[in-house]
Amino acid sequence: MPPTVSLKYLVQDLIDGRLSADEAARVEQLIRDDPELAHTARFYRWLNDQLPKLFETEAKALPPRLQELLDALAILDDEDAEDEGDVAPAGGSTALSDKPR
Amino acid sequence: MRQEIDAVVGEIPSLRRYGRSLTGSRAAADDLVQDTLERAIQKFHLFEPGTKLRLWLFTIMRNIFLDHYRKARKVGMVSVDTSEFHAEYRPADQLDKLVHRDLVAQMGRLKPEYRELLLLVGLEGLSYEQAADMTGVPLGTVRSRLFRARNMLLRKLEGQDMARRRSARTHAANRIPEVSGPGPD
Repeated sequence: MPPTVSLKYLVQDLIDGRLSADEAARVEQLIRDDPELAHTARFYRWLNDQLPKLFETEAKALPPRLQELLDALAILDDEDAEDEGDVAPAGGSTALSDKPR
Repeated sequence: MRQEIDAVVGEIPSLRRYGRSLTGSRAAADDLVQDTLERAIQKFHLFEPGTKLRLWLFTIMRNIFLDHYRKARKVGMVSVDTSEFHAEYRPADQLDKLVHRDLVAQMGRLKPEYRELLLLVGLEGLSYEQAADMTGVPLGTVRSRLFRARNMLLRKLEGQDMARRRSARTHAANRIPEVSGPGPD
Protein backbone atom coordinates (compact mmCIF):
# COMPACT_ATOMS: atom_id res chain seq x y z
CA MET A 1 0.00 0.00 0.00
CA PRO A 2 1.46 3.40 -0.92
CA PRO A 3 2.29 5.70 1.97
CA THR A 4 -0.32 8.29 2.87
CA VAL A 5 0.16 11.99 2.26
CA SER A 6 0.43 12.57 6.01
CA LEU A 7 3.37 10.15 6.18
CA LYS A 8 5.08 12.07 3.40
CA TYR A 9 4.50 15.27 5.34
CA LEU A 10 6.31 13.61 8.23
CA VAL A 11 9.24 12.89 5.95
CA GLN A 12 9.34 16.57 5.08
CA ASP A 13 9.19 17.48 8.78
CA LEU A 14 12.15 15.17 9.34
CA ILE A 15 14.20 16.69 6.52
CA ASP A 16 13.43 20.21 7.75
CA GLY A 17 14.45 19.33 11.31
CA ARG A 18 11.05 19.85 12.83
CA LEU A 19 10.74 16.58 14.75
CA SER A 20 11.88 15.66 18.24
CA ALA A 21 14.55 12.96 18.52
CA ASP A 22 11.93 10.31 19.29
CA GLU A 23 9.68 11.35 16.42
CA ALA A 24 12.64 11.49 14.07
CA ALA A 25 13.70 7.97 15.03
CA ARG A 26 10.18 6.69 14.36
CA VAL A 27 10.02 8.35 10.96
CA GLU A 28 13.50 7.05 10.06
CA GLN A 29 12.21 3.56 10.83
CA LEU A 30 9.15 4.11 8.61
CA ILE A 31 11.46 5.24 5.85
CA ARG A 32 13.58 2.11 6.20
CA ASP A 33 10.46 -0.05 5.98
CA ASP A 34 8.85 1.63 2.98
CA PRO A 35 10.65 1.97 -0.36
CA GLU A 36 8.37 4.77 -1.56
CA LEU A 37 8.92 6.82 1.58
CA ALA A 38 12.63 6.14 1.24
CA HIS A 39 12.50 7.41 -2.33
CA THR A 40 10.69 10.57 -1.20
CA ALA A 41 13.22 11.18 1.58
CA ARG A 42 16.14 10.67 -0.79
CA PHE A 43 14.65 13.16 -3.21
CA TYR A 44 14.00 15.80 -0.55
CA ARG A 45 17.59 15.50 0.69
CA TRP A 46 18.97 15.56 -2.84
CA LEU A 47 16.95 18.68 -3.62
CA ASN A 48 18.30 20.49 -0.56
CA ASP A 49 21.82 19.58 -1.71
CA GLN A 50 21.15 20.87 -5.23
CA LEU A 51 19.64 24.24 -4.33
CA PRO A 52 22.95 25.97 -3.49
CA LYS A 53 24.38 24.85 -6.82
CA LEU A 54 21.64 26.71 -8.69
CA PHE A 55 22.81 29.95 -7.11
CA GLU A 56 26.57 29.58 -7.10
CA THR A 57 27.00 32.80 -9.03
CA GLU A 58 25.41 34.79 -6.22
CA ALA A 59 28.18 33.70 -3.86
CA LYS A 60 30.95 34.86 -6.19
CA ALA A 61 32.25 38.31 -7.09
CA LEU A 62 29.88 41.22 -6.76
CA PRO A 63 28.77 43.08 -9.86
CA PRO A 64 30.45 46.51 -10.24
CA ARG A 65 27.32 48.40 -9.19
CA LEU A 66 27.13 46.69 -5.82
CA GLN A 67 30.86 46.90 -5.33
CA GLU A 68 30.67 50.67 -5.91
CA LEU A 69 27.98 50.91 -3.26
CA LEU A 70 30.13 49.05 -0.76
CA ASP A 71 33.13 51.23 -1.60
CA ALA A 72 30.97 54.30 -0.99
CA LEU A 73 29.88 52.88 2.35
CA ALA A 74 33.50 52.26 3.34
CA ILE A 75 34.42 55.85 2.48
CA LEU A 76 31.47 57.15 4.49
CA ASP A 77 32.57 55.03 7.40
CA ASP A 78 36.10 56.44 7.24
CA GLU A 79 34.72 59.99 7.12
CA ASP A 80 32.44 59.28 10.07
CA ALA A 81 35.43 58.04 12.02
CA GLU A 82 37.45 61.19 11.20
CA ASP A 83 34.56 63.51 12.04
CA GLU A 84 33.53 61.65 15.16
CA GLY A 85 32.17 64.04 17.75
CA ASP A 86 31.90 66.97 15.36
CA VAL A 87 29.24 66.06 12.82
CA ALA A 88 25.89 64.33 13.05
CA PRO A 89 26.06 61.09 11.02
CA ALA A 90 22.86 61.72 9.06
CA GLY A 91 24.62 62.91 5.89
CA GLY A 92 25.60 59.38 4.87
CA SER A 93 22.07 58.33 4.16
CA THR A 94 21.43 61.31 1.93
CA ALA A 95 24.58 60.66 -0.06
CA LEU A 96 23.56 57.04 -0.47
CA SER A 97 20.08 57.75 -1.66
CA ASP A 98 21.39 60.19 -4.22
CA LYS A 99 23.81 57.69 -5.66
CA PRO A 100 22.98 56.86 -9.27
CA ARG A 101 22.20 53.25 -10.07
CA MET B 1 29.13 51.73 11.78
CA ARG B 2 31.86 49.46 10.41
CA GLN B 3 30.48 46.48 12.31
CA GLU B 4 26.98 47.04 10.97
CA ILE B 5 28.21 47.42 7.42
CA ASP B 6 30.30 44.25 7.69
CA ALA B 7 27.36 42.32 9.06
CA VAL B 8 25.10 43.48 6.24
CA VAL B 9 27.75 42.85 3.59
CA GLY B 10 28.10 39.27 4.85
CA GLU B 11 24.48 38.68 3.90
CA ILE B 12 24.83 39.89 0.30
CA PRO B 13 25.09 36.42 -1.28
CA SER B 14 21.85 35.40 0.44
CA LEU B 15 20.21 38.66 -0.57
CA ARG B 16 21.22 38.13 -4.19
CA ARG B 17 19.76 34.61 -4.18
CA TYR B 18 16.52 35.74 -2.61
CA GLY B 19 16.37 38.75 -4.92
CA ARG B 20 16.65 36.47 -7.91
CA SER B 21 13.90 34.22 -6.63
CA LEU B 22 11.65 37.28 -6.34
CA THR B 23 12.51 39.13 -9.52
CA GLY B 24 13.49 36.28 -11.81
CA SER B 25 16.53 38.01 -13.21
CA ARG B 26 20.03 38.64 -12.00
CA ALA B 27 20.11 42.29 -13.05
CA ALA B 28 16.80 43.10 -11.36
CA ALA B 29 17.94 41.17 -8.30
CA ASP B 30 21.07 43.30 -8.02
CA ASP B 31 18.98 46.48 -8.26
CA LEU B 32 16.82 45.09 -5.49
CA VAL B 33 19.88 44.22 -3.39
CA GLN B 34 21.20 47.74 -3.81
CA ASP B 35 17.90 49.26 -2.67
CA THR B 36 17.79 46.84 0.24
CA LEU B 37 21.33 47.67 1.35
CA GLU B 38 20.65 51.39 1.20
CA ARG B 39 17.49 51.07 3.23
CA ALA B 40 19.09 48.67 5.70
CA ILE B 41 21.99 51.03 6.40
CA GLN B 42 19.60 53.96 6.80
CA LYS B 43 17.34 52.00 9.14
CA PHE B 44 19.93 50.02 11.00
CA HIS B 45 18.99 51.70 14.27
CA LEU B 46 15.66 49.85 14.01
CA PHE B 47 17.32 46.44 13.89
CA GLU B 48 16.98 44.62 17.19
CA PRO B 49 20.28 43.02 18.19
CA GLY B 50 19.84 39.36 18.98
CA THR B 51 17.32 38.83 16.19
CA LYS B 52 18.29 37.31 12.89
CA LEU B 53 19.87 39.88 10.60
CA ARG B 54 19.20 37.82 7.48
CA LEU B 55 15.51 37.64 8.25
CA TRP B 56 15.37 41.40 8.83
CA LEU B 57 17.12 42.07 5.53
CA PHE B 58 14.89 39.61 3.66
CA THR B 59 11.85 41.36 5.08
CA ILE B 60 13.16 44.73 3.90
CA MET B 61 13.87 43.26 0.48
CA ARG B 62 10.44 41.70 0.18
CA ASN B 63 8.74 44.93 1.22
CA ILE B 64 10.71 46.96 -1.30
CA PHE B 65 9.90 44.44 -3.99
CA LEU B 66 6.20 44.48 -3.19
CA ASP B 67 6.07 48.28 -2.76
CA HIS B 68 8.01 49.37 -5.79
CA TYR B 69 8.82 46.69 -8.28
CA ARG B 70 5.50 44.95 -8.47
CA LYS B 71 3.41 48.13 -8.43
CA ALA B 72 5.66 49.86 -10.90
CA ARG B 73 5.57 47.04 -13.35
CA LYS B 74 1.96 46.05 -12.70
CA VAL B 75 2.97 42.42 -12.68
CA GLY B 76 3.27 39.70 -10.11
CA MET B 77 6.47 37.93 -9.23
CA VAL B 78 7.88 36.83 -12.53
CA SER B 79 9.17 33.49 -13.65
CA VAL B 80 12.83 32.80 -13.17
CA ASP B 81 14.94 33.26 -16.25
CA THR B 82 16.31 29.75 -16.28
CA SER B 83 18.97 30.61 -18.82
CA GLU B 84 20.73 32.57 -16.07
CA PHE B 85 20.39 29.92 -13.42
CA HIS B 86 23.29 27.64 -14.13
CA ALA B 87 25.77 29.86 -15.90
CA GLU B 88 28.52 29.04 -13.44
CA TYR B 89 27.70 25.49 -12.45
CA ARG B 90 29.23 22.76 -14.56
CA PRO B 91 28.07 19.32 -13.48
CA ALA B 92 30.76 16.71 -13.83
CA ASP B 93 29.09 14.11 -15.99
CA GLN B 94 26.45 13.96 -18.65
CA LEU B 95 23.72 12.48 -16.45
CA ASP B 96 24.29 15.13 -13.77
CA LYS B 97 24.11 17.75 -16.47
CA LEU B 98 20.76 16.50 -17.73
CA VAL B 99 19.26 16.22 -14.26
CA HIS B 100 20.60 19.63 -13.33
CA ARG B 101 19.13 21.16 -16.48
CA ASP B 102 15.77 19.55 -15.73
CA LEU B 103 15.82 20.84 -12.16
CA VAL B 104 16.65 24.35 -13.33
CA ALA B 105 13.77 24.28 -15.79
CA GLN B 106 11.29 22.93 -13.28
CA MET B 107 12.33 25.40 -10.59
CA GLY B 108 11.55 28.15 -13.05
CA ARG B 109 8.07 26.72 -13.59
CA LEU B 110 7.14 26.54 -9.93
CA LYS B 111 4.65 29.09 -8.69
CA PRO B 112 6.69 32.04 -7.35
CA GLU B 113 5.23 31.67 -3.86
CA TYR B 114 6.28 28.01 -3.81
CA ARG B 115 9.75 28.75 -5.12
CA GLU B 116 10.19 31.54 -2.61
CA LEU B 117 9.45 29.25 0.33
CA LEU B 118 11.59 26.45 -1.03
CA LEU B 119 14.54 28.81 -1.16
CA LEU B 120 13.86 30.48 2.18
CA VAL B 121 13.58 27.17 4.05
CA GLY B 122 15.56 24.71 1.92
CA LEU B 123 18.43 26.98 1.01
CA GLU B 124 18.56 29.87 3.48
CA GLY B 125 17.67 27.81 6.51
CA LEU B 126 14.75 29.86 7.80
CA SER B 127 12.39 28.06 10.15
CA TYR B 128 8.77 27.63 9.10
CA GLU B 129 7.84 30.22 11.71
CA GLN B 130 10.30 32.77 10.32
CA ALA B 131 9.17 32.09 6.76
CA ALA B 132 5.53 32.46 7.81
CA ASP B 133 6.27 35.76 9.55
CA MET B 134 8.15 37.07 6.58
CA THR B 135 5.73 36.10 3.87
CA GLY B 136 2.59 36.76 5.90
CA VAL B 137 1.07 33.33 5.38
CA PRO B 138 0.00 30.90 8.11
CA LEU B 139 2.43 28.26 9.31
CA GLY B 140 0.30 25.47 7.85
CA THR B 141 0.42 27.15 4.46
CA VAL B 142 4.21 27.31 4.59
CA ARG B 143 4.30 23.57 5.28
CA SER B 144 1.82 22.68 2.56
CA ARG B 145 3.41 24.97 -0.06
CA LEU B 146 6.80 23.46 0.62
CA PHE B 147 5.33 20.00 0.35
CA ARG B 148 3.64 20.80 -2.95
CA ALA B 149 6.75 22.44 -4.35
CA ARG B 150 8.92 19.45 -3.51
CA ASN B 151 6.44 16.93 -4.82
CA MET B 152 5.87 18.85 -8.04
CA LEU B 153 9.61 18.79 -8.64
CA LEU B 154 9.77 15.10 -7.77
CA ARG B 155 6.97 14.21 -10.19
CA LYS B 156 8.30 16.38 -13.00
CA LEU B 157 11.86 15.16 -12.68
CA GLU B 158 10.73 11.54 -12.49
CA GLY B 159 8.60 12.09 -15.57
CA GLN B 160 11.52 13.50 -17.48
CA ASP B 161 13.78 10.69 -16.30
CA MET B 162 11.26 8.09 -17.50
CA ALA B 163 10.88 9.87 -20.83
CA ARG B 164 14.65 9.88 -21.20
CA ARG B 165 14.86 6.17 -20.45
CA ARG B 166 12.07 5.43 -22.93
CA SER B 167 13.84 7.46 -25.54
CA ALA B 168 17.10 5.62 -24.84
CA ARG B 169 15.33 2.24 -25.13
CA THR B 170 13.67 3.26 -28.39
CA HIS B 171 16.97 4.43 -29.71
CA ALA B 172 18.62 1.17 -28.70
CA ALA B 173 15.77 -0.91 -30.19
CA ASN B 174 16.06 0.93 -33.47
CA ARG B 175 19.71 0.09 -33.56
CA ILE B 176 19.28 -3.64 -32.93
CA PRO B 177 18.79 -4.71 -36.56
CA GLU B 178 22.06 -3.04 -37.41
CA VAL B 179 24.04 -4.99 -34.87
CA SER B 180 22.21 -8.30 -34.50
CA GLY B 181 22.07 -9.49 -38.05
CA PRO B 182 23.85 -12.66 -39.08
CA GLY B 183 27.56 -12.31 -38.93
CA PRO B 184 29.97 -13.29 -41.66
CA ASP B 185 30.45 -17.00 -42.09
